[in-house]
Amino acid sequence: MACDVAAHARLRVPWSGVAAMRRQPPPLPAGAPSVALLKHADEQTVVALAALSEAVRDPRLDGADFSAWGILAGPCYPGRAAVVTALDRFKVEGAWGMSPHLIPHRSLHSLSGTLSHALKTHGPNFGVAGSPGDAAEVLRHAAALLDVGVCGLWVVLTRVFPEAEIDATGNHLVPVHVEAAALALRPSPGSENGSPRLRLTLTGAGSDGADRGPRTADCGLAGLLDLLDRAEREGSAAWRLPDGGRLEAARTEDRR
Amino acid sequence: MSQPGAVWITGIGTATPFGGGTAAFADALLAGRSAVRRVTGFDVRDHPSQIAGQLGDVPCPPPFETPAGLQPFTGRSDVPFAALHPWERLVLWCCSSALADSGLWARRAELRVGIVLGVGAEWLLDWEADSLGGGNEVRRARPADALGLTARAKRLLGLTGPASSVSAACASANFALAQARQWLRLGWADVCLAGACDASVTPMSLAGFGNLRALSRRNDDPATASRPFDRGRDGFVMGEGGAVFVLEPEAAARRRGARAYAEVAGCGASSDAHNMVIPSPDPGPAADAVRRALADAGVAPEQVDYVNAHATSTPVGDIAEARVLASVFGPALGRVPVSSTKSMTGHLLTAAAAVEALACVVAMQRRALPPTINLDDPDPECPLLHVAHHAWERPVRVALSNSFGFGGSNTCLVLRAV
Repeated sequence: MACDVAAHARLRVPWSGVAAMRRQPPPLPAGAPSVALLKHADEQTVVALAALSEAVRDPRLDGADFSAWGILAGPCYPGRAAVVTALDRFKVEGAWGMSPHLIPHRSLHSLSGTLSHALKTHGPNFGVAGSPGDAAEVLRHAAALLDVGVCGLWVVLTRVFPEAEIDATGNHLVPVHVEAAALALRPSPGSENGSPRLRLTLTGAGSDGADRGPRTADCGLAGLLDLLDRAEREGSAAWRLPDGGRLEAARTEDRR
Repeated sequence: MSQPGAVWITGIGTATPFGGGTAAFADALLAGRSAVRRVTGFDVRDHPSQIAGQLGDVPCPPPFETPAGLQPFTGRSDVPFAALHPWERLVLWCCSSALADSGLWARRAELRVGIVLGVGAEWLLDWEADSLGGGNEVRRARPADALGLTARAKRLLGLTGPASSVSAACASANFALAQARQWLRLGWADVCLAGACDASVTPMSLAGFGNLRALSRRNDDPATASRPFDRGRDGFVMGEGGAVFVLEPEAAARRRGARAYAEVAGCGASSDAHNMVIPSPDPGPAADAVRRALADAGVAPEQVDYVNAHATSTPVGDIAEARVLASVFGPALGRVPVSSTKSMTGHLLTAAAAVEALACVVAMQRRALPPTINLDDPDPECPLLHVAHHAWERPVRVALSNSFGFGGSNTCLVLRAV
């Protein structure tokens, strides 16, 4: 099961820098999203939208129509800092103090839903996993969706790094960054606008791979970015997945 | 490319506010009973909505009667089943009883059994339960190798196939079923558990949805509060429960002589891209999801025998869905019976689509359509062939179940009798 990475972008933003980004959503082909879209959004959503906006500008996607694309998102512990303050407020104020925005905007579905709204995509959108090390899980769903005829997919992965302790006011005890990666995937072969940069091939699953060599330690966002970097640099790179499958990234374009 | 082939439901595990097991659910649904009561277990005096369809005790599955290996969210090991969080108990009960029902529990180690579950607010529920119980987990950094609920369930159940949690809010379980079917077609698993569980009637969730003004405030008369398509509806009622199905390729199921409940015949999905909470006034995107599911199943609208509507009992949502159905069914609309079983169960949120797929299976098995109760004064803006108040006896060959979620997710599932 193969798919092409038509474009990808990554972003790493200090936690303290997210507030400014929230007030100024980035431009997108569908038009600038309304400021209200990000008002209650999770920090991971804010940075993901910026990463998506950067990936969309890749020349390989010039003229692409995203309206039928889908969005799969894998945030990591969405809403944790907001829940700290929400819990404290709930303990003091009771039901009246509970924000109505927490569930719609800080849950596992929230990232994909917000990006779908911002980019005006009408393909399927859903969230996957929600824990560290789940990039492979998101890619497995992506491959399955592309196989049933979804014409393109944005796969967006996010996390707060490092995963740090939070004080009672919702602030991290050490400086943290919000990281996001956005990948534009298309069925392989079949890119409309020139060569894709990379091809991902997912094979096998389900035998737990105990007798087929060590599993890849980091199948999360950082591990995926490392996999893509190595493929661009060395031509190809591969993961042994926790469920026994194998994910290979291979450079497809001539870089001379 | 995947190998197209029929995928059957060969096992069911469920627990709902009506109790554990399919029979209890089916009996209550076809009798038109409401599971909605005043919330117990925590103080709701300050909550705008004080009613729900709450889950009772989840039975302990026989494999988990000894606590060895059970490790809940807090990390304490070897705890009894009863000490797990309600949603963990629910997942283990539904998954293990589905495998037992299919006759595959004892064979699960020989097969690549995958698992895809709709799990929406897992971390929020964990953090809330821990914090309101005096803990502080939410503020601590979680270990890098921490497992999510589905991965923990995979380990505890001793499964070896791929595992994943998916969330599209109230549409989650239809995605779980669609993806599981596709995993089987791609050969990534021999058998796949698919469904969803939710136990969100907690102090914060009830307050959050209440403050969103999404919930009914008919606190004085709980059993009549969930009234989809009725002119007097004023919001949804939260519910809890889950359903997990064993999906299996038809060929494999036939080889072993498995009992088949239904075929997962068609799946369709789309996004509104309109609003995070409010359904689009344009029926187009949701209608696309329904049309895709019908096309996937190779079924024409007039061949549908029963529609289990998403209809949650909100003023805006029910009208929006009626317009979607009118757009898809056209002149056949008046001949296709429609009901919303949320009138009886409440809205099971992440698990809604799973339990409503089960309602469709019940309709096929019992040859009867579950009703929309409390539909005393049908909204003229929802001009459908309502199965009001009482079940209708009739055979069901093709059933369609809509589920729409926050984030603008629209999904539709078509089940066909086998």
